[in-house]
Amino acid sequence: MSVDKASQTGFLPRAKVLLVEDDEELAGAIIDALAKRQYEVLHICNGSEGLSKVGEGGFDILVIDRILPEVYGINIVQELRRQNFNVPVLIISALDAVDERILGLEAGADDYLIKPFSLEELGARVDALLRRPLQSSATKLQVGPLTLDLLRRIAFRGDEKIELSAREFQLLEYFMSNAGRLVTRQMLLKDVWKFHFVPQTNVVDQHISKLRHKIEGGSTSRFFLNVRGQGHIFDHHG
Amino acid sequence: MAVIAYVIGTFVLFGFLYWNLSTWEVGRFRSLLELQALGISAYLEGQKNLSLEDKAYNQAYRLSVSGLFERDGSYAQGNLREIPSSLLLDGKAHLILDPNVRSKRGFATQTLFVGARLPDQRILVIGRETPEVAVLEEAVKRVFMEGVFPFSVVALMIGALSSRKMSGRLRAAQQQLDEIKRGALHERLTVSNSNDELDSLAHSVNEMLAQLEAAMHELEHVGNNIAHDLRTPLGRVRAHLDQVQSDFVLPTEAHDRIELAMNGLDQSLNATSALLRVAHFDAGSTGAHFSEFDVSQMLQELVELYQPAAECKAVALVVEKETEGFARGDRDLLQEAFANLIDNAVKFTPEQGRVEIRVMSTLQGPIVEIHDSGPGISPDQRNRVFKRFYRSPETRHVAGSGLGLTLVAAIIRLHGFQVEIKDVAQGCVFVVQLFRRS
Repeated sequence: MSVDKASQTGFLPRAKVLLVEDDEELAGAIIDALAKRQYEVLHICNGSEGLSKVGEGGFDILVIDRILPEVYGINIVQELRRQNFNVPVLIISALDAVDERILGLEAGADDYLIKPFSLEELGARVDALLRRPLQSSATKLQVGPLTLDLLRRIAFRGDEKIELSAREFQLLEYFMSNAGRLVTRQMLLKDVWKFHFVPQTNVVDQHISKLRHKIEGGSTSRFFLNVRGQGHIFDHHG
Repeated sequence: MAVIAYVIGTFVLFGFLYWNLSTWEVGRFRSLLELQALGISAYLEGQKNLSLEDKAYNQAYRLSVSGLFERDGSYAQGNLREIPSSLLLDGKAHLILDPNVRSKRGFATQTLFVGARLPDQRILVIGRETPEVAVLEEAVKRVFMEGVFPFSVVALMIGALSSRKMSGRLRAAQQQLDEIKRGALHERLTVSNSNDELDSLAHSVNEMLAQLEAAMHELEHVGNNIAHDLRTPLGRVRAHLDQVQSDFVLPTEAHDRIELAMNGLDQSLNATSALLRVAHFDAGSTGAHFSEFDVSQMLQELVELYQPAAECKAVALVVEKETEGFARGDRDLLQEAFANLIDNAVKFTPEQGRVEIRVMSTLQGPIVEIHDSGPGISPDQRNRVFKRFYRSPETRHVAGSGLGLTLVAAIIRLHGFQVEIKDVAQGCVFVVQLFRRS
């Protein structure tokens, strides 16, 4: 990947991740991927140990496998929420049951990923979860010449107003608040459209291409960098 | 048909019986009469004293008529005044319709005559009416009218009733078999308590179905295990490739090859996911979250999602709703099902085509029709497109797992709803009933 990783995590120095995953091979890959994003990762193999570690606190985010020896991931999340720990939780799970998403989210997880996932996707999700609180306070977003007025729901390129549909505005808002970071198609489907499935045809890219035409207009500015097989990175690429 | 055959058969049987009995009876009279003629001829000397006109004589010999004629054929004695013109004087019995002799009912009856030359060249003619044959005919008729006919009518009625019952049972069995053919392998034929051939047939069919069902389950089970066990190693391979790609600066070609390999892995992983999900849906082992939701709203969201894809091909993608329609089901799953249907519709509709989604309200619940102007699906493929991995010969080149419609069918089945493909002049219509059939 040709992206400067420091820019992605620069404002979150050494965030601590607790990874509870019993598949050593997969855990190794996850640790590598997260370490590359400057995260500090503590890895634990079974559920009961995970539960006690969680209780000790001191983690910025938890990445938990749903099916674990001794105590299930879901139960860890439930216990955590019962004790009013608000740390973000990302559930990862093999497809053992169809309603992973509901079980996981109802238990109090903030996000879920179905195995196998790309390590980029996992990294992007972890980034996004850690950023969440910052997002809500902003009323204006700015990336290069683009300005988004979140209250009046208007987009500008310089002084020029860009006509966007409600959905295009939401898309742009999501990209701009995640500027410089990988945004995957699945993240868009889940967070912008609120869909809980992945369409067979890649329809998201077609939305992005329409949006790109509108915001780039006739200008020479380029905003979307397509990361093949993963998603897009939005920034002012000049 | 059977009734006509039965009636004809009965008539033929009785006709044969009558003909046979009457021939036998007449034959008996013939030989008797011939013997009598011989006897009278031989003992004529002794019987000269007896008048052939004597009733007692005639009755003793059971003769109706008798006459003795001179050599030249002129009347000598007896109650027969002249020799029947067609009678041969050969001592053999001949059946002659004598207009002078009438039966009790007044009809001309056939009379058996024997004519013979006596040794003195005189002529003896004796005759016997055949009322027995008439009696026989009468008896046969009576048996037929009073016995066989009412019995036949009753038998036919009972037969008609039982055949109606039988054909009712056959029809029911036919319907059940149709249902089973459509995939309801858990269905069984109804076995009545009459212990007849149909019941034993139904028993055999049911046993066969049970075996078939068990085999199918076995197969699906194996398939699901394979799907599940494949995921973990495939996932690991993918993670390793992923790591190689991001950890090393690779030559472009190596990078692209790894990309292709990962795409292939993703395809197999998607297929196993879809298979597992179908299996979970069919096993009912899902915590589907049911709620009431607005169908048009849900479809509108999908149309918005697919609009750019449709625009790319200049395909008009529209929702036409007559009224609001609320359905009860897992909104996310049903939305996924409809996304697959719309995905297909857009994919198979040629440029400048049209995909129309119609929401209709019925008393039982909403019905959604998705009509595309694509090539359509021939009737013989309509059931198969919902099967696992089915790709029609015409669509084999189009990208996809062959599991999209399988998943649709599984989601619809899970809800107890219906999905079918309807006939239209052009293109294809998927009709989804979003309610349980009562």
